[in-house]
Amino acid sequence: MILLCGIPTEEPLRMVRVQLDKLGARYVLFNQRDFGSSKLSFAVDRGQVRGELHIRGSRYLLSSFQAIYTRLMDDRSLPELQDEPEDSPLRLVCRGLHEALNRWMEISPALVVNRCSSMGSNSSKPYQCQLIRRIGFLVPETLVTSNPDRVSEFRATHGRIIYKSISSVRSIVHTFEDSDLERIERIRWCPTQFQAYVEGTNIRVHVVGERVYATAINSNATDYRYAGKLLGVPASMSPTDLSDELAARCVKLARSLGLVFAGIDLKITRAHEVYCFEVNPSPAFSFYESNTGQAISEGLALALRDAEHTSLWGIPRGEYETVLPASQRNDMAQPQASNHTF
Amino acid sequence: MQLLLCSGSDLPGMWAFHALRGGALPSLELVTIESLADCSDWEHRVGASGDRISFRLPDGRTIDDSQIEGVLNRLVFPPQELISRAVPADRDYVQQEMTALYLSWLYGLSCPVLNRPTPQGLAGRWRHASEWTLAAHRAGFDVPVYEQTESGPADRGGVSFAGPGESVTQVVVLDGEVFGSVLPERIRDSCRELADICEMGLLGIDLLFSLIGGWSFASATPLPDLEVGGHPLIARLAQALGAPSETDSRLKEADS
Repeated sequence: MILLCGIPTEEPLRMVRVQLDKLGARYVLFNQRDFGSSKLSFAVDRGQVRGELHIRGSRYLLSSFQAIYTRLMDDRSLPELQDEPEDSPLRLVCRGLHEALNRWMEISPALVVNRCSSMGSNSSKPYQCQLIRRIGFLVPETLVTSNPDRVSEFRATHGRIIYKSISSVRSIVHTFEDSDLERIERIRWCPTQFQAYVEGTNIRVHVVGERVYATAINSNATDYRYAGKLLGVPASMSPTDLSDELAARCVKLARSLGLVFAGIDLKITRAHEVYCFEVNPSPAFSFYESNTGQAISEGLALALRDAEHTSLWGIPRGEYETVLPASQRNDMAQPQASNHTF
Repeated sequence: MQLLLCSGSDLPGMWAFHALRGGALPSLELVTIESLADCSDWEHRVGASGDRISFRLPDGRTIDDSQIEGVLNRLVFPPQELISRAVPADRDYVQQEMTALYLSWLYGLSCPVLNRPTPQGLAGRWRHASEWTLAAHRAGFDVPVYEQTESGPADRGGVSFAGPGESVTQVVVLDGEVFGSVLPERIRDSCRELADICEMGLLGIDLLFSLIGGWSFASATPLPDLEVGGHPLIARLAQALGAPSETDSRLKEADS
């Protein structure tokens, strides 16, 4: 049995449901907005996790879920709570349910796409860059500073530079322009991240276990996600091929971060150097699938369906996060990249 | 130079600072979390040409990674004063940004860092009680049953199995050695195993004892009360943070 968590109309979740229906896979949907009619209890007893989930009067043993796909939004922002005071009983009920759900998912032996703890590296981009570099990718020259003079020096060295948040909050990439010099003194109050601009082709790689889906993006915008808004012309996308070595490296990167599903942002230069900018641990893949027809949701649905019978990366189901310490994840045998879609 | 990062109100941290600096680590520098609020000239670089961190403290000292030989890290949150300077709408953003910066520069240091930060905790990975319960069982401890429901208290992360007022036995594990109370070898092995499973160089563990049930796990923390380990722990910490062996010998002589 598969558990889907989130808002049913949210596009990535909707697309995975469609694929699970096509596959005839059994799944249960936890609609966050139904929190009032849902209950969850679990216990950790002698190394085993057991418990029950109740949704609209139906009862499910937690041990019956072999895979979970979670797209939970911040429960504090649910429409049902819009007019509720901060500490209202309804808010507490909702918080308690989501807290229990998240805690169980963190220790469940099921295949969880993805666990909160595995998504953490994205909370600090320069930290994640250090992890990315260990897998053999180039990362852009990065400066985090509160000193305007260092920014000028960095710009003089690299020419075109960009700036973006250090964390995953308010993460939009901008090119640093002359007009930004007028407010550069503000960085004295909060260090800011600058990066050398890398010329090349943007590639978004979605990794699902060992399946790899690469999309080439054509756009003149510094941050192609906002190309339509910023330039009036949305980015165009097309499926592309990666070499076996590069695809395998992407799989290795996702695995090293403990991510079953990841969106990896690459840029390939004219000299064929491969830079990796970021790994998104909860990729909104529907944007790419809708534009290219790439079967990402199908790959995800297959991974969820097959979790009961197969292992991921050769590790028995459910033992990935709870048994292997992080330091050993990098040492696992390199996977084969034979499951390319293209 | 070694660094000790802690709040000025962190009594175990301050105790360790005085014990280390007055003994085996005279080059230990204290950087309080509060002083980080007024740091200037941050420079943190990541790239092909190598990583770098430097910043200037309000008292004029400059912290530079090329001079840091070891870090005792008890940094939990960015300084509250820094966050409260931002307008309310920006406070969460500032907190996230500074946390992201501290995580990156502390992680990137090539010297020993106890504990090295993770996205789940700047002083080492914070674990929920449910996670500690599983890990402690794997380490061989007897562990009470942990239960959680949607109608229970929303945040039970820091819960201990010790009841209110119940006495616990505290130990500190540092790089595979157990400091503090005398324990049966089997329990010491479990302490070492738990630190190993959780990849914590420095870990505090609270244990319960009953005449009927024997020893059982109560809770664990990446921020132990260092006084529990006394001067043997301080001597080992100094070694772990890069104290010269000659000074180490003198400390041993003084202890004996």
